[in-house]
Amino acid sequence: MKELEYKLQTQKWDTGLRLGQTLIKYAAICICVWRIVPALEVFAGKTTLANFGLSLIADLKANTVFSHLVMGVLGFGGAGYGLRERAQKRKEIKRLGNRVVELEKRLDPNRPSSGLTIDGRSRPEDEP
Amino acid sequence: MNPLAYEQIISLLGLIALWAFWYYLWKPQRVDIFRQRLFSLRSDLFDLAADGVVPFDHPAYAQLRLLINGMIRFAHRVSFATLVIAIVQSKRAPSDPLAAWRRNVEKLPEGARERVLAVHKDVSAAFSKHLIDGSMLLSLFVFLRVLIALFKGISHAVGRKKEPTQLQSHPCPKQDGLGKK
Repeated sequence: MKELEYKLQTQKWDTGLRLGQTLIKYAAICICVWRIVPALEVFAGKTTLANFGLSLIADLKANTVFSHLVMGVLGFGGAGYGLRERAQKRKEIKRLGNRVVELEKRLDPNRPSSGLTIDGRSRPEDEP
Repeated sequence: MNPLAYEQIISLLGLIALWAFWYYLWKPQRVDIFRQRLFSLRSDLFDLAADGVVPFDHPAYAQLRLLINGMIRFAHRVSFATLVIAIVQSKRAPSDPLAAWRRNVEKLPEGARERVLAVHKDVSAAFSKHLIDGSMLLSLFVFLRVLIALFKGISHAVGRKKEPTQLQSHPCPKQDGLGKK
């Protein structure tokens, strides 16, 4: 009984924590979107997207535009490179993981698993 | 063109980019690195058993493997908040799995015990590193502790250097006596 009570209590804490973390995550993006809409409304009906882009460039100094471009290329390039590497790694885990499991099971048939998906991701039911 | 609105849009877009970077690039990458480290340690533990150092069915091996598997599975949930909850809840826990594991480790021969404990130590180190790196509060706390320890170390070393000069200026009478002989 004590054990069951303890597990229930732990699950309650865990659910509360998951809820809190999810709330923080989505509240942050909601606040950003909520604040960006009025800023965009200033231009509503006054300018098109093309005009907006052109006037941005016209309003800014050339060196600022250049630095924005460089930062953008570096940022998106770095993120893209990282994502590509990660996808490649998942492929390798998928390819080699099964072989390791098979070999290890020959020596230890009762070998317990971590329970991750075949490409090394968290189980969907374990996600917050 | 309204420069204030422009600045606001750019800043908010930057914040959205940071949000996406944190949740979809940085955090998963950290979890992957932590899992990779744990996979490698689990592999080391398996090698110990495969080499015959520890039997596969020994509780010390089985429980440590179970612990590593649990960490791999829930690596994405490790945070300062979960640590606090774990500490609070561990006080009410009806059993102590760590103490049970330690008792089982004691039953192993000395050489095997040391190697199993070394794997456990590495697992704990990897866990601590992952935890501290992921929490600004913990990182700050560790930084301050290191700074304080460094400061104490320096002041201790300075104090030690001063001691011999004090002795030289006030030589003890026994030394004088030895000199006369």
